[in-house]
Amino acid sequence: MKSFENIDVKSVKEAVGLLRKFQQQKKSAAVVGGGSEYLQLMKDHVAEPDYLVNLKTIPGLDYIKEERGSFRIGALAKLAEIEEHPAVREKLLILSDAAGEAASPQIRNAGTLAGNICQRPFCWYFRSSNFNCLRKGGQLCYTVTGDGRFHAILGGGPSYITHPSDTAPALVALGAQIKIAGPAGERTIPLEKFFVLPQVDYSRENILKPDEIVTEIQVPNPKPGSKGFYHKVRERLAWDHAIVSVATVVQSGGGVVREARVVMGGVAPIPWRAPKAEEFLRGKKLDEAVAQKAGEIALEGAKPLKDNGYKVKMAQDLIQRGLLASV
Amino acid sequence: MGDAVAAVAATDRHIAEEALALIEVNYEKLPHVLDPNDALKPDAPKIGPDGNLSVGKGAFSAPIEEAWGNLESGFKEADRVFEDTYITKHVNNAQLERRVSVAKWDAGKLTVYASTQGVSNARTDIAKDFGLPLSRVRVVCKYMGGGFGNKNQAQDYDYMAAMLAKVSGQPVKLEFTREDDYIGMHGRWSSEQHYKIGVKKDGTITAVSLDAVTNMGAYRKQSGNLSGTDFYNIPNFKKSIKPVHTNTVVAANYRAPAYPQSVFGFASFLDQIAFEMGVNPLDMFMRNRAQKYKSKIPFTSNHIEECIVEGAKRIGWSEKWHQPGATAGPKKHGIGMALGGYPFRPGLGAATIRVNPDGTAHVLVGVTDIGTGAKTTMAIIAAEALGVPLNQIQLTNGDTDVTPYSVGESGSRTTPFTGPAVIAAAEDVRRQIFALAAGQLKVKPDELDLRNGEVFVKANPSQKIPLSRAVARAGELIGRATTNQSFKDMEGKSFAAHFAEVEVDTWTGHVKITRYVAAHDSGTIINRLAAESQIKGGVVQGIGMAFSEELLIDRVTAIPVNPNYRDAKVPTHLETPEVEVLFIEHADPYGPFGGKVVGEPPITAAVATVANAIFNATGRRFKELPITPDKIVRAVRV
Repeated sequence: MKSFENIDVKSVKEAVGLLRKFQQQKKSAAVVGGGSEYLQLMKDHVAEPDYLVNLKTIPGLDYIKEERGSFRIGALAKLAEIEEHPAVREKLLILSDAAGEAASPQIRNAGTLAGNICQRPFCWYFRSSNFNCLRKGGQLCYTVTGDGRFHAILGGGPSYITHPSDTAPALVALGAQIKIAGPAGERTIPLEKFFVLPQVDYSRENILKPDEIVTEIQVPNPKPGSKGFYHKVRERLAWDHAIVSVATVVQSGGGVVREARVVMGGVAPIPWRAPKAEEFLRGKKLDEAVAQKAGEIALEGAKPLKDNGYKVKMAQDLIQRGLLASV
Repeated sequence: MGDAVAAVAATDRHIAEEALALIEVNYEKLPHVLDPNDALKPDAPKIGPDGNLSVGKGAFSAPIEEAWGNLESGFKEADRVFEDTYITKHVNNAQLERRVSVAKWDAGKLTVYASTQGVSNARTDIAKDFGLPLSRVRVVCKYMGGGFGNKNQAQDYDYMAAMLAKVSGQPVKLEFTREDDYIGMHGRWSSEQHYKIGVKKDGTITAVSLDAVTNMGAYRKQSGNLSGTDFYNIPNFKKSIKPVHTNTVVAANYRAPAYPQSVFGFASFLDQIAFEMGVNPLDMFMRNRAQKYKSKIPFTSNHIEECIVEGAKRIGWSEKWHQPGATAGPKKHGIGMALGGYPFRPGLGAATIRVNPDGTAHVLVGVTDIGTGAKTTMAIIAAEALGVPLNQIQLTNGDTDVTPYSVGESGSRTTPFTGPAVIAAAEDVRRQIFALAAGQLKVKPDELDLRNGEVFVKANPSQKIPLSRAVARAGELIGRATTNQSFKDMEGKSFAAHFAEVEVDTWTGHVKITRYVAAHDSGTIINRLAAESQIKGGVVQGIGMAFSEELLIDRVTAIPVNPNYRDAKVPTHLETPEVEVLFIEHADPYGPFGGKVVGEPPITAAVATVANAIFNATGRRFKELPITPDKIVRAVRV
């Protein structure tokens, strides 16, 4: 690991100010919460920042509060705390499930919600300092000629990473908002709008500017009659990212679907929402045939690489299973 | 691939790392070849001067050929002849402890604290590297964090540490990164196995031919053989195996080097043939089990039949077996089995036992404890052979300045090689004890016995004295032995029959092992806890090889893609079932106290066992490892 300077900050304002300063000085800086993910990038010589801005020392940014029909979760709330929080478990079940599926118990005890959403890709070409890939400033996405068995089938090109977060698909399915602090103050946007496709900018995964940080996630309580489902397929049951994951939230009433959200992880460079499938489900009685059809619609337009065609069927099956479990 | 280019010593690891990054190396890019079949083509880039078919010496010659019986008439006798190809991949030993070495020089004497599976071999290699007499080199390794066959002797990293220590005049610690470890050492050779098998209507094998290539990487460090047919009765046999050089990571010893990959191929194919012939797999394996080695040489002991019978009973084979793919719905139940084992042979061992004036004893053996509990096993053997309670035994191991020679803790040799020496050293010191005690008890030495720390007259056990009194004035008694047992015209083997039940979610490709039974004939079990742990550990490594582990090399750049625990997918506790271990205990006439070998057998059968269970669940045969979710979904759903 290259030497760096760690700065423990005491406030969001101080963090933003430092990031602004480093940017003006043309120094590289990275923001860490739990640090578990970024440390690995540094050890692997993929990231070599001059400064680490450590948010963990900001007091009180790890809250989980329920007020006025909505949850507010501080950026430093740990994955393990979200996994175990009684009110989150009761009302935002797919979020606690998704947080509990991430990484390993050790990492969940250190890793934060904001950090989980802002992870860099776990593409093996990106994570190896031996491949100077497109996303790191090189010329090539090695997936195209190499091994893309775990890579994107939707929204890919010119880079084919998949977004590694477990909590992000669940939060998008729950209609979460994200609060961002920067030099000009704070703004709150739907989480869905936070992520960036490679065709827009293949060097980044989200809209955060170098002098901005995530401060809070807001999650509305699901409407009455809602049920959710989060399922993650992977090769190894701990410390492995989703090959395909599916988050569904279905609000039913009078025997039919009032509103549905279908979001996939592991299939695209961003958490991939399937609005056409959601539209198809509205007003339908949810049975096996409808759930299967919704899965097919959700994967329309999938463009697998040579090694990852299996993900299409896997995602369709998983959506079917998720929807049927959500009634 | 994996050659050391430069080494840097510094006052801390960060400085060393940054210094390494400052070294500029210019490489001339040459064409590469990764696939062993491509490497054998005439126009393939040549890896070494002798071409890509590895031609080593002696045991490492090529191709590896063996035959007995008459293949042609064997196939003629068959009612049906089957042909198919099975493929296994390069997997890394992935032991927890990466390569590490600490070296220091003191007045012309070199001491290396090594992570080795053999202090004596390591000393020999290091002395040769530096042109030193053995007396000027000390290698110490009492415990280490695993090796599974890739730390058999002194390695480059011991040399690097010692050289840097010499140049700097300071002690030097050298440590590999996990990536260095995956690329710079070796893993298990991958293989492409083409079988032709002739069987009679009832499933009896009449002939087997095996043509295979094994991928050895750039250097031939080990045989590249495939020996999974060892556990079957094959009257007519021929194999031809081509170990091939490619621009990939070197392949050499990894726990039962020539077995799990070939047991996967052969036992999967037998299971498939059983299906096609309408024979229950249990009957297929029972009918074709080994009764003589290579169909003619008797085994020193063989209880494979009892392993099959007891294992099948424990898992409930007759109630649970069903036609492949018979479970309705996406989640399917399956049951499978396979046979395995590993050669057992005795050999050169040495031990010293010092009996103190208070009747306690100090055992000295060269063995390092590589995680097998060998230290305890040696103490148990000493306690039993000497007649002194285990808690009165002190043991020092793994230090070439202090302890006697050891062959190295690999090849399941620790107990059968050093165990008999411990017994012989105990007998040597017992003779000295009896000579002293004879006068005190007023009998002849050969009338005496020693048990539980008491010397007594065999004919009258109440006539006794404590060992401490017998030896009180002796200062110290020293028993020593170098033994080198062998047997002729016989083959030693430990055997195993493994059974697994799985639940395969055909929608997600997830396989859950719901039950695992491992029945082992390892002779007498000497250290029960450690032996059970060996079986469990071997099964877990087999599960990793079966389900997820594979070292991938990028086709275009020839750079390893996933040389780390995260991406080469070593299994965790969550993939690991409770392994029910059944020891079928019968003393072998040639093993210490009747013990055979334990360390290597369990991995041999595990891969094929779960693969056969997946076939029974899904009705799909997976002929290529690892059996990952994508392959299952492709086979069943797409």
